[in-house]
Amino acid sequence: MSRKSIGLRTWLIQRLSAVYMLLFVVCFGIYFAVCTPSSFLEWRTMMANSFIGVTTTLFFLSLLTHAWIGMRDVIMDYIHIDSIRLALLTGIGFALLGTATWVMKILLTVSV
Amino acid sequence: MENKKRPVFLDLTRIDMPVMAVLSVAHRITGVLMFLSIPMVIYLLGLSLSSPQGYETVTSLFDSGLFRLIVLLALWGFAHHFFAGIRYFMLDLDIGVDVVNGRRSAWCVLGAGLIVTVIGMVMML
Repeated sequence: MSRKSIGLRTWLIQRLSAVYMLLFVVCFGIYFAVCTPSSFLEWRTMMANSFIGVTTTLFFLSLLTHAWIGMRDVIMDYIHIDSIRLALLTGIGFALLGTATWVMKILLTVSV
Repeated sequence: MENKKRPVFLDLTRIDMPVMAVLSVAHRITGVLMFLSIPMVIYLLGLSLSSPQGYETVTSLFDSGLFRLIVLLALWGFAHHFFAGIRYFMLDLDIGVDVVNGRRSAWCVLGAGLIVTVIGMVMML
């Protein structure tokens, strides 16, 4: 996509991540309600499943991407001083990348 | 911006906001609040998966009334953002773009968010 369509691209990513999260939340919610884990072992066994681990990781990556675009939009709307805007965007960007690494470590290392 | 002296009127206390505008503002606020709560959610997720003791710590949090209140608030914020998001999808697809339907769907979103919160409240009792 060209430089001019970058707004369209973020708009699209915001919606695609939303669709994935919507499907995940509904499916995981139903699954969790039907097979509610009642102990640590059951909960850990559930999350140690590769399919659940990977789809949950994808959920968090979608969430963090969605949060980045949303926060970026909010900051660009209200913060008009370039230095503060850059500092906030940089801080939030690194925080989200760190959070992504953190949640991937948690979810992908669960074993029974 | 060619005309920097153009009049700007942004006195939010005097602007009569239609329900769609209230919804939009709430969509933003709930989004920012959920962004701020991400670290806490991941911390609790990691703790619950770390050890039987960590799992006990997380589940026993639900014994506290304050924690339940926070969970309910979070549930409302999530439900509101969820349903308002679906509404924006429909608007993107040109469904219900006119004023009458836009107003109606906005009220539905507000109602749906509250209904989910009440269901959550009943389930926690």
